[in-house]
Amino acid sequence: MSPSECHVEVVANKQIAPEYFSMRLAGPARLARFRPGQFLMLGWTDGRDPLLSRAMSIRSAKSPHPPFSKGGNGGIWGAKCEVEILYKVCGRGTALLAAMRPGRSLRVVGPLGNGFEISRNVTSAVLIAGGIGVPPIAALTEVLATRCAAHGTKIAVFLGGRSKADLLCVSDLRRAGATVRVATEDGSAGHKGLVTELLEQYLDARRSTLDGPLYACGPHPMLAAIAPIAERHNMPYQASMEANMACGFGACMGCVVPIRGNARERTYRLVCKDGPIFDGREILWDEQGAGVGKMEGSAV
Amino acid sequence: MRPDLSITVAGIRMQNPVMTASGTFGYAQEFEPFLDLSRLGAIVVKTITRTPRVGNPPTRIVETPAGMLNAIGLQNVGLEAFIKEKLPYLRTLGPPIIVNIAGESIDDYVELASRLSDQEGISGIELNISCPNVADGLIFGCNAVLANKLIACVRQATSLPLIPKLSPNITDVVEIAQALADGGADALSLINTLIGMAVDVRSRRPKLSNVTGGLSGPAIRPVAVRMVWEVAQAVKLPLIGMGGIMTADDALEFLIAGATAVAVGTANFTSPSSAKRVIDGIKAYLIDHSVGRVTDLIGSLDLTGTTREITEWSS
Repeated sequence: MSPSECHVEVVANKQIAPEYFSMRLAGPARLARFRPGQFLMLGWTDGRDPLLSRAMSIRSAKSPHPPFSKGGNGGIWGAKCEVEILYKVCGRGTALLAAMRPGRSLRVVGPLGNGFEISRNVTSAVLIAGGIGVPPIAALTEVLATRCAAHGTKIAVFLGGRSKADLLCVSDLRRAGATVRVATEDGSAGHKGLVTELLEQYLDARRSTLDGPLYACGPHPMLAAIAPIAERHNMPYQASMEANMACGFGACMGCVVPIRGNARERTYRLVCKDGPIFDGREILWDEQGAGVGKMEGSAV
Repeated sequence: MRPDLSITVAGIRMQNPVMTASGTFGYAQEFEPFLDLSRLGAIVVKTITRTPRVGNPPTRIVETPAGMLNAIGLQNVGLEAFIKEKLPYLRTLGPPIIVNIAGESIDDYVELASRLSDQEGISGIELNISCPNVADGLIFGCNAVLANKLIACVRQATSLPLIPKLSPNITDVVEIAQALADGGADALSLINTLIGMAVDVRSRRPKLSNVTGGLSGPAIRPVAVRMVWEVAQAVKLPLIGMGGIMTADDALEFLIAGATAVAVGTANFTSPSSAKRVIDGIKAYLIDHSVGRVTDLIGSLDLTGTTREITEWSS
């Protein structure tokens, strides 16, 4: 499905935790055709300040949406769908988003990126999400859970956050049929510590029965910590990467990640076009350049 | 009324004055899902160097007030891959293709220009002498003597129109513009990005791995319009104005200040269909203001009543 540019209307913008919001956007029906892991570039309609759109992973999309009265003739809206994104308020742009009332309009380019690769005969999978990395993992869970249920297996989802308030979508994940295990750094819920510790314990105990891939989205240190774990257990690993990007479709060449390969010269791939989902074995985890100045709100 | 939007820059005829700025439009293919590429006045592709470049390490992009800093580092596929993999597609699109080139020496520019001259479907060469993100990227753009020598040498190597892209990171833009005109340039593109910097105060680290980067977007538009205006008065070459154009009104500022054509840059990132809206908006303006030809707008700035008004007693 090739991406498109369109206007969307905010239908709901609900605070779901102290720093987190869920926003639902009504837009053209084609937005509903996305693969878990794909994202939207969400921007302001006048687009001068803040200038750049924010990369937002798609949490879910429902289609069709009943047409609005004003768009009943097809109009600028055409057939409708509703897309949900989750974001954390961590800068000026996301603060502006948080203040948006239903009825306001935003600009969207998408769906973008490759999305997770889902093998047709998947029977088990282990998913890991850290903080605001949960939307693509929740979307993937919903797809995988139905397939695994047919084999009588369950999806294992690991959620990590600083504290209980950073754990999102727990009930959604359980409703989808996943077994959810949580870790918080302050111990306010589940295992006290890092989610990767929990993951390691789990894999060490069950290695013989698991062959499904590891899927992860979250902060870079978490993704990097999973790479050696995946390697040790000989499990394929799909990581959703993040980088500052201006366009989201391969033109600005801003969102690069270093790739293993040629020892003499660095090789980069674009998060927006070659990713955001990468084979964990492909990424050069120990090199992230300056690594500062991460753009707010990039939930990819 | 059907206004005439066509213009000619450096002998390159365009159906309208709206081009794409190098480095913001990839090799055009990235934009195919979002707009009808055949409608563009001209397509200027991302800088090509003699050999491929991997570019700078991340972080390469950071947002600033009404603008963005980039330090991509001229990542590109290199001359030969461009000819083999990108040019065949570009040739099919319709609008004139202008190839932007950069080198580290006069030799590099000469080699690039002469090799590109042998290819079908290239209408002009834009010389990037103003990249702030690679070592020595600004050498030719900041020194009138070197700029003159470079353009004179490249002039010998090709009959294609030559369009140097000027840097705003200088004291007197007119001096460089004049030197390039004297050296044989056919038109001038201005401006490239302004050198900028942003600091993460929590970590006390620069936000870009390259420390400094090129500032673009609406934040730089007033600087660009002023430079176009200054050069338009002093140099008798057609100008391509660029810097923060987001809308048709932004583009019109450049035309009225003296540019013959404009290029949409950073706006392509935030809305990939921006160039189309700028074209449509210019057309609507011409109709609304009963202007028959877009060329009637070029340099039509009215200075009546300003401190710059030219009167008998002041001249």
